[in-house]
Amino acid sequence: MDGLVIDATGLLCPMPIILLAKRISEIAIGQTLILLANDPAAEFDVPAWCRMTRHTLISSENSTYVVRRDS
Amino acid sequence: MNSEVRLDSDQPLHPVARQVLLAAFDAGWADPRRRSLDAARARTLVASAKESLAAGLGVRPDELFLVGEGALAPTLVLEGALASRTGALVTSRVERSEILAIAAGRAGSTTVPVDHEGRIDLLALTGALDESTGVLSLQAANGEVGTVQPLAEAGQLAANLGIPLHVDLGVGAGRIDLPDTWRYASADARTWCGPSGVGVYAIKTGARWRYPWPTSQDQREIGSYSIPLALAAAAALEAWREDERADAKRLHSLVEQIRQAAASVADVEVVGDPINRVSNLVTFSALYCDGESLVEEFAREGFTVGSGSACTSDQLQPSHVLAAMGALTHGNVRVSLPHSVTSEDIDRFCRLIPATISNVRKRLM
Repeated sequence: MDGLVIDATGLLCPMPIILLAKRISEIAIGQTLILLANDPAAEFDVPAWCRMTRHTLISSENSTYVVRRDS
Repeated sequence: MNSEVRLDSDQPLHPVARQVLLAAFDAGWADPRRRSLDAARARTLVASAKESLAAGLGVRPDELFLVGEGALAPTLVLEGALASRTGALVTSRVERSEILAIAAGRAGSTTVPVDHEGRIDLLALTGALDESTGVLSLQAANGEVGTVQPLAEAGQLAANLGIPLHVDLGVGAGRIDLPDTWRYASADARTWCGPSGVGVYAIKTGARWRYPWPTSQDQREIGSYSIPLALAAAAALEAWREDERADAKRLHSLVEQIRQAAASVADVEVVGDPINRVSNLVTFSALYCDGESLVEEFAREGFTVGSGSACTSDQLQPSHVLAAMGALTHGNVRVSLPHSVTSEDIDRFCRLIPATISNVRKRLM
């Protein structure tokens, strides 16, 4: 874990994904961040965002998503 | 402001059906279960409506039944199929929510996954079907993304094990043939621009079926549907199928034009099978947009479209179909082309797509 935590708790789609997209550039390629998001759509949209923008979802449980910057 | 173009699955009654409906309210008001002359005339009208609906859906008239609520047809025919036997229900994750609710309430039932285009995973289906399966229930085509399901293959897998197949015709009604292996089928007259309040279901000759609700007699339908609406549904199906025969290719290529216009915008994903789909449906999702704003922006430009995103209208959960496909659920736009749509409408709609998406993104980002 490299330190960046994005707290999108309580925010509705697509805000958690917008925060994720805006802030992923704060970490270096190969590093990971944590996104906290409890909107029901995040469960589907975080993996879809990773696929569409070529990053990797390392894990997701309990509204906590670990994402690695790949590009 | 241009006049409204409805690119939405909610379409007005077919004009032919409207004429039939008005005439039928004069002729078909009586209860066909009674013994009067009026009732006899009502019975004749019902028989002709059923004959015409059966021809349009590819079943025999004596296999076809009606219920006075479109969304009830799949539930009623499937519950009756399950009531006549033991065993679990196998279905897919992209079925209508009523079918998924039946699966959730029936012990041992399975919902089979789909691929990224929304097509049923036949390998997973093979694994799910066994001697404990009571019924396999599958849609002919998906009403949100248009993908046509491999019914012939799926039905054969079930038939090999002696499992009966229920086909929920949905948006495939009147345009997708039932596979030889069908035992039960259902459809809603709204899907062919018929009136609301007409559900149609079919039970193949010889297939086991039991009325699933308390009843004192052996019956196959509730019997209190509206005869004028049934006649209008039959007239609509006939007229709509003619429109579809003449127009399906044109709509298919207009949808292709929309798919290309949407796909050319950055971070937009066009969802569903590009080729093997119903002629008039297309769905796409735009990253960093909310579905509600997109629907409103298009409405301001005179286009009514739908959305499968949560936060749109009445839904708290995003579309279970998009979720099952692994597609993006936010920023979703669902387009359904009526036969009346012109290529000028679609040219204008396509030109609007990039600016509409970027306007919504600017506001949110």
